[in-house]
Amino acid sequence: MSVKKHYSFLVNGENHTVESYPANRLLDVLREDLRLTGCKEGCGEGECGSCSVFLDDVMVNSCLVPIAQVQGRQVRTVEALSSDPLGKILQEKFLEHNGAQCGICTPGMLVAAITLLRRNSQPTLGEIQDGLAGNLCRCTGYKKIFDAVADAAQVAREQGVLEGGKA
Amino acid sequence: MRAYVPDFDITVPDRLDDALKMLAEKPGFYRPLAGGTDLMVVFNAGHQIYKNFLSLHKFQELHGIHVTDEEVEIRALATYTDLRYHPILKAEFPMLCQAAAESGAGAIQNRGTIGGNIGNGSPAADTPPALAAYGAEIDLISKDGVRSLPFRNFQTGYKQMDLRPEELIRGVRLKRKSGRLHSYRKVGTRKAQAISKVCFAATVRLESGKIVEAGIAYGSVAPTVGCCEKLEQKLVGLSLAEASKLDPMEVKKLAGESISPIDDIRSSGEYRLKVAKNLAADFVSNLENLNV
Amino acid sequence: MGKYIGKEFSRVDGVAKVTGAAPYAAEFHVPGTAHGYLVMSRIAKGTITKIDTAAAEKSPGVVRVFTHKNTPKFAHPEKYKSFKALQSPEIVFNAQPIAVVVAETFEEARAAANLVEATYRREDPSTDFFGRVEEAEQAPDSPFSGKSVQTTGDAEQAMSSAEITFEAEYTIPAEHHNPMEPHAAVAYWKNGKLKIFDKSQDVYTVRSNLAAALGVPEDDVHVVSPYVGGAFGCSIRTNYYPFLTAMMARELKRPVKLVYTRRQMFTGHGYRPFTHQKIQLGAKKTGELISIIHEAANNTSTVEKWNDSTTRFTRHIYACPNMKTIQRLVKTDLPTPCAMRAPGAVSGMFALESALDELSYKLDMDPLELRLKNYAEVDPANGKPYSTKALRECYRRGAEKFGWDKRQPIPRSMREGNELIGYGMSTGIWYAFQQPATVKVVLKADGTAQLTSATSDIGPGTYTVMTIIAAEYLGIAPEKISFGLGDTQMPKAPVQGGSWTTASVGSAVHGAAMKLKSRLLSLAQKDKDSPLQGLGPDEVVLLDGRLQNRKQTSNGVSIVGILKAEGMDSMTEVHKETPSKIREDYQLLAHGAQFVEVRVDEQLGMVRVSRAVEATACGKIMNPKTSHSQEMGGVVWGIGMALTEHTEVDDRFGRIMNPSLADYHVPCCADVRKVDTDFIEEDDRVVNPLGVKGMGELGMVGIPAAISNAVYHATGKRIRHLPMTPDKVLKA
Repeated sequence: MSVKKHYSFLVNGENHTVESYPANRLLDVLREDLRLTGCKEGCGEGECGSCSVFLDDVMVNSCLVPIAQVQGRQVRTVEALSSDPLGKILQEKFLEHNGAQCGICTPGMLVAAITLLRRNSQPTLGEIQDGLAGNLCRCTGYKKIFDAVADAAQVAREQGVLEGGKA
Repeated sequence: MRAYVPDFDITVPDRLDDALKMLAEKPGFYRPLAGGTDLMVVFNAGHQIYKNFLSLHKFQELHGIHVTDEEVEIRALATYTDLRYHPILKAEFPMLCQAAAESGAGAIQNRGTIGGNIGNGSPAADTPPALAAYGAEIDLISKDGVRSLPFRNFQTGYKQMDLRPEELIRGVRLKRKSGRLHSYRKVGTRKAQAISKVCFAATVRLESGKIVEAGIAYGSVAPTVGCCEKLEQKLVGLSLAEASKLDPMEVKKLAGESISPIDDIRSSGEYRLKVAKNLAADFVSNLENLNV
Repeated sequence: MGKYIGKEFSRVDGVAKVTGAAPYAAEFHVPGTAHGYLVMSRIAKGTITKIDTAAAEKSPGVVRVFTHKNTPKFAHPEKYKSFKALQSPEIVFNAQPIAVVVAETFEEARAAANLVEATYRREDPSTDFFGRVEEAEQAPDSPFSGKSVQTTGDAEQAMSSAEITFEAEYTIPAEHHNPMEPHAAVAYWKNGKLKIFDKSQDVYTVRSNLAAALGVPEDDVHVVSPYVGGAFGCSIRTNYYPFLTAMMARELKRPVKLVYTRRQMFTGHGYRPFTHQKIQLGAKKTGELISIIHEAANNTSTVEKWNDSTTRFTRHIYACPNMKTIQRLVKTDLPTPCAMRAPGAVSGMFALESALDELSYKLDMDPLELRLKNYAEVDPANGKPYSTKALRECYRRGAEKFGWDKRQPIPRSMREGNELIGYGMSTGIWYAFQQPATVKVVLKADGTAQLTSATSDIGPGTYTVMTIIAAEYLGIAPEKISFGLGDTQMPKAPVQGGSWTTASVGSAVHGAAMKLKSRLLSLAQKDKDSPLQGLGPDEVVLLDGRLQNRKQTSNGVSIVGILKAEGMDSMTEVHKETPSKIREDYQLLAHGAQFVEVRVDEQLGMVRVSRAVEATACGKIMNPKTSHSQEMGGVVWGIGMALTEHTEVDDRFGRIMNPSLADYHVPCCADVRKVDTDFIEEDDRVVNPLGVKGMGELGMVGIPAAISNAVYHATGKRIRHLPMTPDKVLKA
């Protein structure tokens, strides 16, 4: 048995303290305690990527992160992506290319796309597929998502949001 | 059905020494928790039998990939992402990079660790066949010090390993030697995000035109990593040209002897055996085409 | 192309979705909500002899444990006899709900759910559909596909006299929709009235079913479902969970939320049934079909007879004088199947189009040529003309884009390295349905318009296309239009299914706009000096915020001006559009042609769809941006059905073995290579005022057959049993 403890961490730049059992999932804390419902639960086992968020700027499946490991760290969710220049470009390109349909996979797709483009600002189709491999979508057939990511990469390079070249 | 959260406790020590003391004081009480990419899945599925976890994430001693002239040491908390993009590993131990790249996808690779992949003991894990093929050594740490053994001897049965309750996996070490050829193949249902039906890692090392070392190992086709020792022995001493002319039927037979694939939800034993043999035969017959 | 119709439009709900702001059913926060957690049976057939909830009830936070013993009986309206949970101790499928634990928090409910203990009188389940096909009974007739046995000419006689005959059997396993959003409901009662947030493709049917089951007037049930995270058919029927959620909220006098886990979704709604088919073809040596006999059987549950209408299109596609189709059922101890994208059509066409491909080799004829040789100019079953049918152009354009002429006729003759290459093609078909639909339009004096209709948007872009149609016919810019849906306080619309939403609701929007135009004209003509004097409604048009002379567009008045002159803040029109009688004189279908290239790794048996070209003819395209996505998504659904999707049942226990996204493999992005979708637009004045046909289902219909045909062409191995997993490819 465990007891509830206080965990403090930053979410989208704001300090939050929650009282929670240590094994509680970051996903539940975000959705239930903080009511940030942008991240979705599609499977609860790290297969679908719908719950992806940034933990200390690294993409994670929030359904697989116990809150005990989040103490003192930084979380960023889809709700804050508009304030990130690359996130904003991706959001616009997902709209323009119809990369979002039902909308459940979209937040995770955006997080994965940011992760990919930060590492590789000129991805090939195969590299985009690899970068989004952990995010399942049942609506789009993926192609419009690939198009959105490739287009966003180009615009981000042109605007100087991303440097050209591969890490 | 998911497990009941209050039943589970996670302790987060600041220092490795403290954690090792805790493990020694209560042997078997704590289950080490690294990236959670397996333990949390089991937890979410309601099948988690362990109740008390010891989170390792704060221990700097367990992070990182350290390179010397003789060897590469991969510490237990190195993530798949760390492995995948490491320049020395890419150049000298590419099968590990490939295994890491094919273990789940980005979010899993960012959290999943090599120590977890080993310690979890799954026969379907993707990095152990590469470690076995490369002849890695594994280091285990307890409050009494470090114990090392060949990785091939570490797994003793299905989800069984030579790991004492007071020990943690500190890392694995790989000998840096020139002249290696490598072939890593993973067969899954989908092109990505699939647990292996068969995973194959094979390497040979050449000196003066002859094979002096061979490492050939399978995942997902036996209770532990399946090492093809007979086939390895067969290859040692041959030139690549001689090896590539070995009778494919004999290669398949030798490869098949070291594995015992079963039917499960991901594939049939028959398919696995057939594919495993095909992969070995393909590797051997194409040895001359592999680049050093 | 109109001012807006036919142009590329980004979705109007897009910003809400890319920022995470769009609320789905589980995300409606109602203060004081208690959380339910389902407890599932561990047997597939039998009776609960004892259910012990004492430990669960004592568990922290538990409010109540519902079982069949303390759950009020739902009334069973005659029209809706689906499975209802907790109504009796009888178990009719494995993972059937046997209890719901309601607690203050989700965690507490889940923990207590572990403590519910049931004992059963167990009977042996029977779930081995393929082993029991011989026992199949005739299916009941279907409201959409008609009688379960249908004949044209004398198929048996013609078959026995055919120069060339071909016969084969094909099987398809159960498949699950697996939309990314799990089903959820949040319900509460206030003053005897129910409000429920539900994941639904059909809020009005949820309303009527809940009202009937709970014994309250329909007007006292308010169903809300503004965003649906994918559904593909699994939220058409009212699943058991909204009944439970509403019931529990009433019993407990507080809001209750119930969310399926991914695992629970495998028995929480229906699925594409197991299907067995036998096709017999009779042809002349020159390729003309003279007989088709198509026998299909699908599994159903023990509580309902689900007819999947597998043979629904067989008699409407090729110019064959003698045809017979039979649909049968086998009862199994599994949940009732339901519609899953392109129900019946994709299954039936997999068999028919595979068989036609097999026949083409027997005839030594190009598969495309065989289809053209049997091209139907009028419907072969009833002789009716097609309202429009651009299938020939689909074949032509698809073949050209694909490079079908580079196909080497002999199987196994195309190779690159370790990979065998194969080309396959197929035909797709779906209806041009239309259903009655009602829409309310409020035209405001500030120049905006608000439209509402209780349809759904499960992802295709309904919010967007309705906005476009309204903009076109009301003559108002899209950004000044709002369209609301998914709420029973809005006018009635049909279920979002059957690919009929744009035809039905869109036509209602059009009809409402026409009525408003007439009313505006009448008002404008009160002014004796109006430039529109003497003109009839057909001679004027609403454009750019003005009502103007269609021929002399400079002659017009502003809409806002008309309203203001009358002192009106707004003008409201509620319009119900029903299908026109003229439809009955025609056969109304949408068509498509699919061309696929596969690459098969001979050592591993792995099949990869390296290229696909799909050309579809489904009337007018309202929004190319979202329409291409529909077909693209359909192609990938076809890839999943062909290669990976398979709900596996352990027949010993009647238990689904792979109820997770780790083990049920929907296609991932790396499975998708080059896919090209193309539309051949048709100018169809019969189907509906907008000239649109169904497209959401159509996109996947021919794909599994095209892939199977390509695998044969690559390998010389014919795999008649989906999915074509590597073990089958290697073994065949």
